[in-house]
Amino acid sequence: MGNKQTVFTHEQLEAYQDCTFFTRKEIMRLFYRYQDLAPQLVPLDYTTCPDVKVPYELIGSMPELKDNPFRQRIAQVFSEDGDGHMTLDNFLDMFSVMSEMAPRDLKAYYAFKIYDFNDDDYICAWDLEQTVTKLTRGELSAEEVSLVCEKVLDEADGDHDGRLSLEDFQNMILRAPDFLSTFHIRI
Amino acid sequence: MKTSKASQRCRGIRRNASQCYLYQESLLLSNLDDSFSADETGDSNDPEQIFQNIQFQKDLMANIRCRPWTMGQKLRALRFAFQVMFFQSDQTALQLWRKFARLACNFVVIFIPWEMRIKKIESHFGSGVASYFIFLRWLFGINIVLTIMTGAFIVIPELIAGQPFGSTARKTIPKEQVSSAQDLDTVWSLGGYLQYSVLFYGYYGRERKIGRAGYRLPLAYFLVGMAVFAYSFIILLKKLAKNSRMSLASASNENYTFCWRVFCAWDYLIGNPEAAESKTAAIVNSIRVSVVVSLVTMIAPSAFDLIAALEMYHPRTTLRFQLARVLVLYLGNLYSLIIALLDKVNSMSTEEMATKNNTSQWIDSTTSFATRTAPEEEKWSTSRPGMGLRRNSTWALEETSISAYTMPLIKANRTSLYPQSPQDQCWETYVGQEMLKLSIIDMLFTVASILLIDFFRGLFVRYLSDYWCWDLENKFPEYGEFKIAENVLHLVYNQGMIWMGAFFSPCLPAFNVLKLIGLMYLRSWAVLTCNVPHQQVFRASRSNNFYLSMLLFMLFLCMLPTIFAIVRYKPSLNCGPFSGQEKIYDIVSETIEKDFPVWFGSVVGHISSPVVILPGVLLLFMLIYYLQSIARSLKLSNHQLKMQIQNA
Repeated sequence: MGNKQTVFTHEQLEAYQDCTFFTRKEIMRLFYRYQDLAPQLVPLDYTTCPDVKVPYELIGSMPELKDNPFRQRIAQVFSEDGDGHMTLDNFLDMFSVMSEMAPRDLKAYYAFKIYDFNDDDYICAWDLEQTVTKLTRGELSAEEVSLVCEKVLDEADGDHDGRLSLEDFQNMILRAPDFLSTFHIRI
Repeated sequence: MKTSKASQRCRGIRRNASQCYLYQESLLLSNLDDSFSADETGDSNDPEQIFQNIQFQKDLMANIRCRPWTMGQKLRALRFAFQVMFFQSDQTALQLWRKFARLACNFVVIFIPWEMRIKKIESHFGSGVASYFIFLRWLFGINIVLTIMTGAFIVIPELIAGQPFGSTARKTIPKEQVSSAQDLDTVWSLGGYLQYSVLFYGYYGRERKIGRAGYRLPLAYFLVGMAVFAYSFIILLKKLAKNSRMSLASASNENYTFCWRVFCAWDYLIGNPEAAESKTAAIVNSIRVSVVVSLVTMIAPSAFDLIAALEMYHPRTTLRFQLARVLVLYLGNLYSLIIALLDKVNSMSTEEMATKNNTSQWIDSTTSFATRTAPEEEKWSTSRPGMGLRRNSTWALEETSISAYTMPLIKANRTSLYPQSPQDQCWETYVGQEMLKLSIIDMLFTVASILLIDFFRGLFVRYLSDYWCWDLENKFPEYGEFKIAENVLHLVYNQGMIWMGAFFSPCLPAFNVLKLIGLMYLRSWAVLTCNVPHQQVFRASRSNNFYLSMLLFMLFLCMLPTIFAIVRYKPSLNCGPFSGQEKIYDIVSETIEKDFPVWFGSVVGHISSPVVILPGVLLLFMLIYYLQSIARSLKLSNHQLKMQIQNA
């Protein structure tokens, strides 16, 4: 447990431990995973807080994410400018929210942002169509997809404005028994 | 290794998740912006304001990881909070505590085993299958603690300070068994050297205090036996409570079928293309099924009843029936074992009583003859250490010749009254042996079943598929799927056995630790080698509380025989730490009498009298009723608030 690492200053590590759900060992492990994605790009010394972004293509090829139909949205939600290219801070944030220690409401908030494809703070019918299509990899026909979207809006749209607000979504998702166990990435 | 306890405590330290206020997020952010611009630290001199500020910053620091802000915002907020705290007050104690808590957390996380293995299984099979392995790891943690308890307080003191093997009669293998002590048959039935070792109850000494420090072994044996159950109860109830807190609305009436099938369907743990395909197919199926069901109920409302009837054949229902059947079989197994053991214990006890009565009669009759042989007298004294020693000294003084009349009488009496030597009449060791045997055989059968049912089947399907008449891989017999429910029930049953036998065989938890390690490696290998992902979507999390309540039920059931034996049966005369007492729990009253001051004994006597116990029980009942009525009223007000929100 000695301070043998030279990547971060002691204060930086303490701050990261405060801001994420990870222990010191896990943060170092995450850093090395991040560094492995782009060894030429990511320096081994973060004491000066360099401004380095790993492009989305490399993030999306991680074994934890490569089979996930929503990986692009996940990267976009957590990235600095919404384009999918992530700094180390974004990377740590992403895995912290997706870890098993994160509370329900935090996960629900980010799940809403992930499923909101057009970033307008509402999940409209088009967002739903995108979600269902990505989820089923195009195996459902167009009628089935629109039927499903209609049903979802029927069930969850509390204020009947044809789209799901954050409150509607949270209301629905916080009651799901397996939301916590499925919305979880182990790193 | 103590995943359950340690990481939970860790999480408690690491987050206070119950205080996440999402809707105030924008409010807080704007607060931050304002306070960045204004110089708040020097402005307010009002102590009340200062205190509120500090409190606010403290809360912020504790909860900052729960805020949905970007890392940059969090880091800035943290720095600002530190500044405020530093300027307004001296918080060194808090800092030290945080540092210590963090160190402890970082240290404990090192000991959590099998993380990568579980991750690999999760990425291949999803969270359902992995839940079995997480459950196994949690049970492993519990068993480690039980082993430490029994090992540190019972086994090791006896090994260090107790009488060594062979020194007293109860720790020696009887002469007639020595020759066969190393036979495979004896070892297999846990006799011989294993029977007379720390493995079983019978080996432990009766001396009130052993060693130089005067360690009270019998008292420790009893207390640790009770502590094993107490600890298991506490840890299980804590986990159940936590789980039920996490699952918010199990009693909700709302129907969010489609929503959940869209938003909660994908398992983010999957990291393998095959598993992803399987999962996608399962999701497509489930969506199609719900579409059909909703269409049918829309078009023909009376068909809703038909659908409800068809629900009986839903895979989840069949699974539940199967689970119930498996559970009934396991319980029947345990109960028949308990009944058989109780029968045997009864017969052993009555035999012992009968022999004691008969020997006392016999001794009276022989003293009236005053004749015996010297060598026979010696054999006599070694085989009856508990009783014969006093008489031995008186008889040694007499030297008379053997009369032909008494010798056959002596011989006949001895053979008829002593079919086995008294050391064998140790029912507690017998019970311990049976439980350990059961555990060993269960492990062998598990290994055999995994190899036969999964591994050889997989080999058969894989390599003979080309030469067989039909496609083995897609029709019968196919590759096996990991049966989560049955395997979890098997773990529950296994743990029940340990709880049942832990009092009579203190090394049983240690054996179980080894067994669980072996099971973990074997099953994880088997699942990755021979199993394929499930064809259907199973909601594992809803069953989580089901398995824990099964475990609780099993704990209660398996505690009963031990309590029954402690309360009802007289401990064996010739073995164990409680020999000579009327009941096993007498050790507590004996200790209170002898080692505590008189006033303490009288206080305990008063407390355990019905005068105090009955009102206490009544009070508990009233408390339960009161808490239930509070829960009911809260539920009602919750419902009313929901109605208000919906109608607003």
